[in-house]
Amino acid sequence: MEAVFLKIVNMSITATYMVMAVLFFRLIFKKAPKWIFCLLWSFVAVRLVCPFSFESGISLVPSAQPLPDEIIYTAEPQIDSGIDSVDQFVNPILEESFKTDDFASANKTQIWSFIFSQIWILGMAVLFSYAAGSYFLLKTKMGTATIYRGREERGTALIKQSERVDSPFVLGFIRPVIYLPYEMEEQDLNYVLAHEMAHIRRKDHWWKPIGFLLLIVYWFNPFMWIAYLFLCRDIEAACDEKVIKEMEKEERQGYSTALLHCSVHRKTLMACPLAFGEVGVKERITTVMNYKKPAWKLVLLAAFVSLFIAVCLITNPEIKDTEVMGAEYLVTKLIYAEDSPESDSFKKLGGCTITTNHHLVLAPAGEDGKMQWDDLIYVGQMKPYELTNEELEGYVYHESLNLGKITDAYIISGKEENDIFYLAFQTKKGKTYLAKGWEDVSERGQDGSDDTRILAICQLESGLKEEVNPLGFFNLTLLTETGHNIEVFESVKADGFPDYKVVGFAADSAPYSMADIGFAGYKHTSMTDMGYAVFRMSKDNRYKLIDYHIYENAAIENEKIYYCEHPAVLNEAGELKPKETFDVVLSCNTELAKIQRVYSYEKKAWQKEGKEELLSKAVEKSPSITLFSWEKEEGVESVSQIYIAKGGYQILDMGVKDEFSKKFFGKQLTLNDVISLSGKGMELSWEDFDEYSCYVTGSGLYIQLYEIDDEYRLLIGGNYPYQSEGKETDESEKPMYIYLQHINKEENIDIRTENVEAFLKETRMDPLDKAIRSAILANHMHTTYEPENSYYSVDFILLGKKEVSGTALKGTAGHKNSLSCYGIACYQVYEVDEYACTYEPVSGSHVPVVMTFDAEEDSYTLTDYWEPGNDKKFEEYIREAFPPKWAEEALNLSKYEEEQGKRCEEQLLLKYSGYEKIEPNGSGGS
Amino acid sequence: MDTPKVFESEYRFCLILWKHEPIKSRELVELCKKELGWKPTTTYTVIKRLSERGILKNENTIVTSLVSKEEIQLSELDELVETKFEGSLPAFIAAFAKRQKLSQKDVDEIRRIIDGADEKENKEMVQERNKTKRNHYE
Repeated sequence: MEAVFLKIVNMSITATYMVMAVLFFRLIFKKAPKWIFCLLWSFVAVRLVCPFSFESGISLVPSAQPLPDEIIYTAEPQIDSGIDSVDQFVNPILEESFKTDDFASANKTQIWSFIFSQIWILGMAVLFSYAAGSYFLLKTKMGTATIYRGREERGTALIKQSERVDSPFVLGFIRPVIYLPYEMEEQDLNYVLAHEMAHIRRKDHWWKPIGFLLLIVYWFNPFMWIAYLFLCRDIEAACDEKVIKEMEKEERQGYSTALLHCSVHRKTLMACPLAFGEVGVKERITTVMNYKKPAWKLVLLAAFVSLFIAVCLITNPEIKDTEVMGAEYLVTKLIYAEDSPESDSFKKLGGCTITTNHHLVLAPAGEDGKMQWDDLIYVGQMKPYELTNEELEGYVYHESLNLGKITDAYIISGKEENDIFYLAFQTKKGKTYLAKGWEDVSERGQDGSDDTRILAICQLESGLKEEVNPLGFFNLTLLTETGHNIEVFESVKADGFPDYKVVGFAADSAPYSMADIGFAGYKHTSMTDMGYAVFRMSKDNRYKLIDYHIYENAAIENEKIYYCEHPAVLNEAGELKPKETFDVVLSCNTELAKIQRVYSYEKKAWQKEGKEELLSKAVEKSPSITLFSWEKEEGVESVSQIYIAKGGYQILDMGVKDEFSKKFFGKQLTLNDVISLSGKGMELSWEDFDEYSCYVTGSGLYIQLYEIDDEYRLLIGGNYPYQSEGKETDESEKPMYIYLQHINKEENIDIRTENVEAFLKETRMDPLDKAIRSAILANHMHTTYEPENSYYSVDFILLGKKEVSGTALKGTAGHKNSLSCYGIACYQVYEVDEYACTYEPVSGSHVPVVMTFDAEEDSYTLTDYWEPGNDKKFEEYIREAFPPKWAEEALNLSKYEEEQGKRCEEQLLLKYSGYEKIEPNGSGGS
Repeated sequence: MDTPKVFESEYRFCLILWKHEPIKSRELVELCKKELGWKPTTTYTVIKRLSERGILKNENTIVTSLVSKEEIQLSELDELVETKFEGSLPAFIAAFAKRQKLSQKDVDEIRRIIDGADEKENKEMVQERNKTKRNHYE
């Protein structure tokens, strides 16, 4: 709403200029026919109604946008009225009154904008209800008006009379009705009717309400009230004119008398009824009596002037860039050339490049007239020069050039004594020129004998097109600006800023020699640095370099993803503003597919938890540049970035490839999923498993590992289709194998070709074994020292089982069997060094145990776990707990030590066989 | 006189009523539409207003007047004489005579009226005079 109000205010300001012009015109052309005035007011109305306008060179409007868009939220409001004195007066005042610290200031302008726009709406509502109210009131009042003359005759309006009419008027939009009072003189009647009919024919019963509607919208501008007032007057005057045009003096007298008779003091400014006697009666009578038909010459003049005013003030001023800006210029016209051999080469000039820092590079045209961009001639960097039109004309012989006023100029002089110089300059009309001249340096400054002369001047136009990214031009500019070998790889636009381009480039740390300039044959030395530059583009496709940054060694390893320290600022002043600043991420990582940015919002008092917002940007090539809006919103606790590689993997550490634990987060793969997927047979491929969590392992071959449960896992191996950067998905690239594997056994099947259910049945661990393993694990885990990367191996030698078919305990349901298992349990903890790929046992135990379970079909619940105490009575304990036949074996621990230890080690290796090959680390022993 | 005041537009309505009464209100509405250009709602409103003022009565949708044309005319005249001629009828007549050229016939008639004493006749005479003025609007 504030933005709408701002637009309205701007429109009213530009319309005000027009109102002033019209008032001035009325003053000068007093004798002109009044309908011209009405026409001019209609132009003002057009200005007020149309939010857009055309740009033209002859516009006299000082500024199309006196109040810039950002004034409603900026901390430092400024106006741009186009009139210097006004700006210089108002802006310092604004600065003063809004000068507090940034945050409060921005709030201040927003508050005021809001207040003003609300007041505006209120005003509109009040005025509108007044207008609507008075209209309906009047209509009701005229309810009992009686017909005087109906519509029988064509072309006449309905006429009614009422005792409540003071002065005749017209009411109604679609079918206007003339209202007269009852007591009216016969003579007056005719004149009055003629006048009111004229109103109707001129459609005044539309124009006046429209005018009032505009007044309602623009009520805050006093000039609008003045305009409306004069509009009403002019409408009446125009009607008077229309009526008395062909009248003789006596008739006019009669008309004036009628005017007088009907004149009434009216206090209110009624929008609708076109009353006969309400407006400036004395003036009208004077005008009527003194009326003389204006000379047709005057009418013509007035018409032309009004048309001129219309064009000047209805159109907006063109905003031109009158600076010499960077572009690849094409020569469009040779506007001056001396007839001499020195100027010949210039005549053959096809174009030139002027970089944004004003280095000049010439490009001659070839035999066929086409540009030879390969044959560039580097001239040098031009310096600013105060060139005046007089000076330029002084160097030119015979004709006068007739160029616009020179607004910006640059020169590069030769190094020799008598040498060539080049001038690049821009005129007020927005045209760019390049001139070649010759000067005798030794004679410089000596009046009279100065032989300096211009050899040729040509007009230039930017050859860069909007759609095509002029990487060559950017390269050249950055080369000359930075002095490094630059290779621009991409240019991006930021959302909402069509005039700006942010360009990503790779750079070489070694300095670059200008002599090597040429588009063919950039030397690709090791590009170790990366950077970005911000360019602003003008309407005619010319550029200005705003800012650039180079980051050393940002591209050394191809895996680097670089978050730039400096944000890209998209305004010429270089100010960090929320909507005009962008964070830049440069990347050389060939696997990067997406950058996700997570905004974490701090939790507010009433919220259950904090908020998180995700913003995602796709990255399509490498190297790449990506922009994120730099919005440090209130309450943002942290901004983190997640880099996602192709295939959905998270790149955990910027640049460092972590083979071991690249995990993709997704659903847990279950055995049921495997069973149903295996139905696809050989059609099964990588994509079918995309939604499940997996680990990526394998060196050489590409392996995806899915942990299913404590017994099974799935391995998919092959050449992953997305691995090669840039290549399309090869549909035919299917995995080499898709193995369902049992963790503790070396058995596996390819689920595409073999029966999964059968395999599961076969390989599934015995529930008792499973229960025993769990029991041992449960009893030992976290009881001894466990380093971080621990793996636990369990082995059990079952010496014997004893079943006790027990009766149900009192109070419990069902009939449970109790099972006791006697055996030797071996528990080993290994520490695995994932980087060095070694392992080493760190703790464990090897001891006879007795486990008692509640057995219910296939499920076993541990009820008791017995281990002998580790003291002198060790043997005694065992003899007590174990049935005699097994006790001996149990005591013969060492017999089993080696084999159990080995089995534990095997388990470890089996587990890691899916990931990486590991080896024992020398010392250690359980 | 306590004849209620009738506005000009209402008077024209009354003219229609006097001409056609007693008349069904619906027919009256149609007549008003044709001759006065009134919307039906307006006519009904006026009927109600005038019945409240005691100028007509609307019984079972039949409208009849309670005050005659002569009474209204006389009431108007009285008001005119009261307000503009400070209650002096002679002054009014004198002013009237100044305006209008009186024929011999008129003069004789007036004499007779002045000499005579019939109020009713007087009224009629004056009414005749006023009629010419009102003719304008009929």
